Amino acid sequence: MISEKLLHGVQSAVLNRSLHDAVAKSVDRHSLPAAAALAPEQRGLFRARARAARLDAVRSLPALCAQFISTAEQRGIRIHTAQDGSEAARIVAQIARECGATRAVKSKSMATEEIALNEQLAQAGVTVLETDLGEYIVQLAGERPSHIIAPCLHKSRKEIAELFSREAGREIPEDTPSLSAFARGRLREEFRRADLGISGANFLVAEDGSLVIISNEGNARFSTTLPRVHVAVVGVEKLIRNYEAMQDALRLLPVSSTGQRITSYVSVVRGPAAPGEDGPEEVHVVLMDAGRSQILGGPYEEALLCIRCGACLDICPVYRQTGGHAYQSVYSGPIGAVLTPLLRDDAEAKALPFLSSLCGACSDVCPVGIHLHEHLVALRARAVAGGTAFTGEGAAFRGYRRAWAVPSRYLRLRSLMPGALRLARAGGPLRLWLRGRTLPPVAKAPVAKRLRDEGLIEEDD
Amino acid sequence: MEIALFTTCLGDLFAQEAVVSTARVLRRLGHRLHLPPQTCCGQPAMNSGFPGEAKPFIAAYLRDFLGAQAVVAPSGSCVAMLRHGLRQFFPEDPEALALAERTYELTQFLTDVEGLDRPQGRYAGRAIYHESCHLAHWLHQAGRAERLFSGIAGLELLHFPDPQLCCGFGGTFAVHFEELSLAMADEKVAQLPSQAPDLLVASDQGCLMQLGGRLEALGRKIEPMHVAVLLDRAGVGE
Repeated sequence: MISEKLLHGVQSAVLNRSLHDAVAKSVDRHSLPAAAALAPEQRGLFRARARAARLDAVRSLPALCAQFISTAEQRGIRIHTAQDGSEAARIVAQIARECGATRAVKSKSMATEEIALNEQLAQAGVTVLETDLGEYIVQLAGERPSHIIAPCLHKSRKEIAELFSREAGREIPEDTPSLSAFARGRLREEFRRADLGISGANFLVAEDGSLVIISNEGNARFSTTLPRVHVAVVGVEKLIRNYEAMQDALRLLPVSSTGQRITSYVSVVRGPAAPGEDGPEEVHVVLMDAGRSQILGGPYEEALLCIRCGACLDICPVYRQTGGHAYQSVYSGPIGAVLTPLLRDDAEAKALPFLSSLCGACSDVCPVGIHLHEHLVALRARAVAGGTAFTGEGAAFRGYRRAWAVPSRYLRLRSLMPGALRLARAGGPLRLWLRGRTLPPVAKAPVAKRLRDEGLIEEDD
Repeated sequence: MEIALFTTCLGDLFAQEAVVSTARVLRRLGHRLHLPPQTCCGQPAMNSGFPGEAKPFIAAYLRDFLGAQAVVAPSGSCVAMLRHGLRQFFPEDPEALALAERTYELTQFLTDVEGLDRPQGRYAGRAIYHESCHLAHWLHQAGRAERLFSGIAGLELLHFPDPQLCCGFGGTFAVHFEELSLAMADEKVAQLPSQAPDLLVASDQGCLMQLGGRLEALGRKIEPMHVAVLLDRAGVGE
């Protein structure tokens, strides 16, 4: 069975046309400049090198992990390892308790979304404020991000103004300066008050134990420097051997995301501040596995190369219609449909690989060359083998194989096709097809006859 | 060249003109055509998660088409399946890997193997071309058909503003996610230029059934036409 919850979610997203309009406008704003940002040869070169560096990192993960722990600890960074999401959340809660934090600011992080950290910390008495503008908007709305890099891309300016006005207790106009002025004021106040700063990281550099975080709004730098304690929650696949190995992926990430040649901020966190310096007194890194090591060494290992640029979401014709929430996962779009069933094993996750027309545009734009559409096909087979299939398809495809996989039998049964299709109109897939589309008539005789009658085929055949 | 035609099940059942036109164009270019035993490529099963049911189709193809100097099919989607299927199911078999290499989609064959570039032809009409995703993204053969059309006198060729956007067919996807698939088709329809073309040309019968079937259901008078039919009617190769 395919999750009804997933099917219904997709259906209601598709019926929401204003959602589509907002999503389509936003993804075009990303993907058009992204396509134009680099010359094809240059992109190809960066992509090959970025892929090689990411592959090297993923295939050397245990060694790089050990190296990072040692180099980071030498810098005074405290390292914690977490097998799963709840352990990671417990560790962060414990750090918050030890430093007496009740207020935390967080810069954008998919890893913490993955483990629903905010909810876990709320239970521990810590209020977390999202400081990425998009994340802040989504948090005010009580929603989840709908895009890896643009969390509120499904929201219109009007909706955002309404949320801000409600939060402010006064009318905030819809124009960009007014909206950002309100958010800036509110966030700055919180940056000053927070005891704990939470972040993710784009790269963990094994060679020297530093964290690299990129952002456009400066909130990552505030979150990691103003509060007394900084904790980064990072999936282990973010490790990279050294700065040289990082440079192509670092270059391609903003290019693929938004078409920017570089982000506004590339922050390197190299440990707690020395006495007399500005910066946090404590820096912690939670190295989170949460299903990654199970993917390692297997047929889907490539999925761990992902640098979370969102290009595959922006190009995806399905995402364009549904937005991110329909995927019912932190990770949406093609990479979400690949990663989610590898990280989760609920019914919605298992069905996600089917949510694709398999157009393959995603694989072409991926800056690290993940063969997304091929993984989607393989994960469908895995889902079916595990009992997740559309009703009746097991029998239907067995029948298809028996009737058609032998060419002589296909030819013999061929004459029944016009009648069979007439009958099939009443139900099943053909009825669904015909609800919004017509179907050409079925030719009565095989095309082989026409080809031979016209003398197009050599006579010895 | 001795060419085996892979007629495709959609071609055999729903689009015989495309198959016949493919044969005519290849004959005009001087090739000798052969017709090994035909059936489907197995893609419906493969892409629905049933590789075990798809493999016998690829095995039959390998057995029956092995002797061909080249295979040509009027479908990027079926050729992508045949090529990927041979490599996936018979990765150690050098004959299977070689057959994958010499299995071509029509426009791929005409440009890469035949070496046609802006061939002469004549056809009066306004056409918009939709590139099949499997041709563009699975086979990486984007732009071939447009090169073949550009020498056709009288043909006004229009373009979608977002040419690589999928039509929403996707095989069983079209019925698994019916509303979504239709929304994707409608986005293509909405992207048609205001002065509508007479023809919607595509290189895959799946796309043509999706977009043609949607256009007809919406009452739009735009004729779906396979690339092969346009090349044939324009007299390419004469």
